[in-house]
Amino acid sequence: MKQAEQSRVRDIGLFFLLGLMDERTALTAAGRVIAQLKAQYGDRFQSVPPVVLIRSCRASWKAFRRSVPRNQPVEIPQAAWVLPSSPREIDITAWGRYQKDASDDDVMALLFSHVLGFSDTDLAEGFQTSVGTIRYRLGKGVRQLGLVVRGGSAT
Amino acid sequence: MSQDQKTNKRKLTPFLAHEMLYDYVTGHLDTERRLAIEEFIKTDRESQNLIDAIKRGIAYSQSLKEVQLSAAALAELEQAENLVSISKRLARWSSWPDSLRWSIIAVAISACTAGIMVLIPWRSVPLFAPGASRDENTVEIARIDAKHGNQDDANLAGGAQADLGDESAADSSATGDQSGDEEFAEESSGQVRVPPVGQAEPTKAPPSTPPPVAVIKPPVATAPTPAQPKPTTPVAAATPAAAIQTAQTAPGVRGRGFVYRAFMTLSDLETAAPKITQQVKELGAEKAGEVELGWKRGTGRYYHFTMPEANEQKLLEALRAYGPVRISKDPHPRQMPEGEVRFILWIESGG
Repeated sequence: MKQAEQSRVRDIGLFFLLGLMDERTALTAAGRVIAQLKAQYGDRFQSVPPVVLIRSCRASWKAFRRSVPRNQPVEIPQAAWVLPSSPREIDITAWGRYQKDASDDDVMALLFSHVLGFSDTDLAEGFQTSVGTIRYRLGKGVRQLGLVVRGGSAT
Repeated sequence: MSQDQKTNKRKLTPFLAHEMLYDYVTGHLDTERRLAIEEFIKTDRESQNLIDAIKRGIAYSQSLKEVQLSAAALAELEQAENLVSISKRLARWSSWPDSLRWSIIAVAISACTAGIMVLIPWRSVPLFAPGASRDENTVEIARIDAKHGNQDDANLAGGAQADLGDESAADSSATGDQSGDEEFAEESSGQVRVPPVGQAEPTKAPPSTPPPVAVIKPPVATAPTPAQPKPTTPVAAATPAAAIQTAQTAPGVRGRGFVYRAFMTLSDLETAAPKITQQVKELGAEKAGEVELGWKRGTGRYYHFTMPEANEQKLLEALRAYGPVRISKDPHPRQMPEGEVRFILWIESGG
């Protein structure tokens, strides 16, 4: 039970850290979402429905995204996360370059789907759009990300 | 899609093919479209590059799953609460500390008990009604408002001295009443022994078989018991006859018996006391309490005795020879045998 709750907290924290790339803002936004869900679900926090979680994170993202200017130099949070060193090191700066140029919905869709593992159906319901739109955003997102990772431009 | 003239097959446009590449890579295309995409990719270099990019992007995003939050960040997020969540958490009874919960339960039980004790009309319950007596030999003689009684007695003594009984009670409460005098003890403790109904009071009750006890209840503030008129009239140097008349005209509310309470203040008490004791005895007085006549207590002498009614006048004349005598006749629960009277005399030493 405790592990499930910790996993949920970790997912939300990672979503905001990767999405906003600003440690203080990310932790504040994540804390607000966690507090809101705890208030709403109490002891059942670990079993919050994915759609509810997606909507809460999306709303909090939109509120805090304004405080993180897009044109600022990408700062990689150091204290808040632990990057894996094996089997291979992650070049987190590639992610920073990607999310700086990508649209918010693309970044969010990519994080929810490929990093946190939510289904396209949950994403469609959480974003209040169609599954086709979600898949389009995901396709565009991973394509841009792949281009950045290779060393090219995201656009 | 465009139509191939030779094979009569539909051909994918680059736009459509590029848009379907993600579904192709993730395996979400049906067989026909998948074959079409594969056919298209063979000849389209850009599509091949895009597929590579998509695969790299997916692989990279998958690697982001391995990113972990630091322990500090995780702890901070786990503690994240807002006012609503805090209030909801605090509102959960099960999450309160055991000590607090038990304290609240104890307070609630105490409050309920106190409320029940206050709300139940105990006076209407026969078992708890004031004056309820389960002993046939116990008789409630009267309810005396101690406060009013004291004031009356103080008036009786002209404000100079309190009533003997009250004084005895006051002293007794302080000394623990070690006199052994029955009357003195009764007045001290607020308990009055009475003989069974229809039986005259013996002059001395055997200590081993005390008569039934009647309890004089303490004053009850809420009980609307009318103040019973005290048939005592302050008389300075009055004769017993006058006191008797006063007592007879007043309604006899506290029984048919009575007692004369006399009070004197003598400057040479040490000299006069043995003489008075001797004279009292010569007039036929017999001690009524446990203490001897002229019992010394504090700065005074105490006489509690019975004597023939015929010698009342002689006694008063003998006492007046030493100084002024204040006397009153009080109702008393004990009824004296015919021709005998009870006296309580207190002589205070003083100028």
